[in-house]
Amino acid sequence: MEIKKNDYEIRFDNEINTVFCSGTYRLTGSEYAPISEFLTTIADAKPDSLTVNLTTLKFLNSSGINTLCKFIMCLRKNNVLQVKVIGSNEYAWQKKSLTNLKKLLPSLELEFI
Amino acid sequence: MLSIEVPPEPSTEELQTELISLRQQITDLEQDKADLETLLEMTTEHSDTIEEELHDKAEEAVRESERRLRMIIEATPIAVVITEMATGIVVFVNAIAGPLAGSSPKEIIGQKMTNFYVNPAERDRLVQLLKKEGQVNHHEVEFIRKDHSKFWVDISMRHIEFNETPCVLAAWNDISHLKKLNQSASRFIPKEYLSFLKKDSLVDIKLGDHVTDEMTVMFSDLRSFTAISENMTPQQNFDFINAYLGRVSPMVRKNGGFIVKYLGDGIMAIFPGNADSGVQAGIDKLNQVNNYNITRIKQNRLPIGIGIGLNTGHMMVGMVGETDRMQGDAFSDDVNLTSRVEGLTKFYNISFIITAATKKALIDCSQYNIRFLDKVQVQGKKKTLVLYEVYDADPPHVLALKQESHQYYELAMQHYYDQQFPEAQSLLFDVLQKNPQDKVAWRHLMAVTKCIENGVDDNWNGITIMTSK
Repeated sequence: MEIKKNDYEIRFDNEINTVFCSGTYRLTGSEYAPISEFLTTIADAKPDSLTVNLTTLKFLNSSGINTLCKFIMCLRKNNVLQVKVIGSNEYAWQKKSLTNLKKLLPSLELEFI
Repeated sequence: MLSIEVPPEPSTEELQTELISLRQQITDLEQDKADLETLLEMTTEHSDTIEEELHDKAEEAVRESERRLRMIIEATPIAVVITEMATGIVVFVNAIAGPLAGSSPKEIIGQKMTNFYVNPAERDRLVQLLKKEGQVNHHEVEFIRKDHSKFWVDISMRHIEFNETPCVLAAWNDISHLKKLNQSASRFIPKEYLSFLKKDSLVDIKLGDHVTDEMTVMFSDLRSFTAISENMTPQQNFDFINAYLGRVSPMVRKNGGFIVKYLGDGIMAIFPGNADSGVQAGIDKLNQVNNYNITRIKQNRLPIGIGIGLNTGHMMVGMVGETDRMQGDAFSDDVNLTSRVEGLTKFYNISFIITAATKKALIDCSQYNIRFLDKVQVQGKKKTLVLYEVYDADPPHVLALKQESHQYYELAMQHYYDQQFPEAQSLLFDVLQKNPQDKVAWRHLMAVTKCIENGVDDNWNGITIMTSK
């Protein structure tokens, strides 16, 4: 499963239960609908565990972080508690914003590479 | 009897279940509320982070572009100077500008730019032009260094924000060398000659460029130069010629003419405007020679004499030679005749002869002292030339005598051509009585006397035939 555009790409590898987000997300609120839907489908499948790989995510605007938070909340509701988010040390904003995801899901594991 | 249906009282069990459900809903709502608050908080924080990051990036981009600009400006082989628009104070100079302006960049920065302008008002004019037009391109400006030496630049200006202040970015291209070269070149082909050929620059001059029009041409020559130069060393010869040419040549320019070429000690000049300028230039040249002779006599040197011939007619003036070696020249029958006319000054022993064509072309011939000279046929030409003498530059007493005898002289010549020889003779006696030194009058008297003594045939027309050049 994937959505691929010029600036960004989102892909789910169900063999390793990993979501890969890469590129630059500068969409408006409603433009995130297909991505929200994509993520909800993954959450609704209630995998035992899930990895969100954001190591090549260069830029995410406010609507984007909103979408990501809602996805984490959706996972929590679906009792998918073994969640790992991998960020990159290269993009300074990730450290600040991704750390906050633990507030939504305290069991979330965070790693920066 | 009115009966009201009362719902059955919920059982304790049901109430218990409902309570649990309500409690669950409250817990969910509280969770949702907490989530929403976290969401809001996170989104805001994220926005702030991103905003800050973008701002930093933008600042970095500005710094980077400034760094690049400096790098480009430093590497460019043209002098670049940035000055504040409002104050005119120098805020930046590149490595080239310093040496060109004769100071180190440190010394220049902080100074007012007007300090470098030979004419400080020029900067205000250029800045006004920049404000009006948005750019200034290729203006020639003269600058001055602190050691007072001057240099020319070709300046172009643009607006620029520098250190967040509106500034002027000026690029100076050193054109001092070009200016000097042009000045040197104009000594070989004068700028008047260029504009006459309708050319902006020497670079545009081509072999065969020419102008055909009615113009006045002047030939002038030193008298008995060979005799004078015999006793001189080559260096003395050069010094003498240049001293002489240096005195008379400016008189041509002053009167709107230009020198087409030098012919040894001779000068060939063209007056594209009216013939009056040619006559005036001739008079000025003779006066210069008179002044020069005062100095020469004081230094126990022989006075010099010159002859000037002036003619007006159609001629071609242009460039001749070969592509790699050319010079200005003028041609036409009228040009050739002028050279002959100049030669005749020796024959008549006077300094300045003009042709009837020139006299006719004068706007106001009463401005000058002009008298009839002769009707001649030069060797190799069939056309009769009517010649006049301009005697404005004669010594004051000679001038006065010629003016006094002018009417008698002119009348005598009329009688002569009307073959009324005794009347002519009598009038010429009168002229010579007043001015016995009048060599031209003597010549005519001899001719008249010869006619009286020998008589004339039917074909007589009084024209003097020149048998030598």
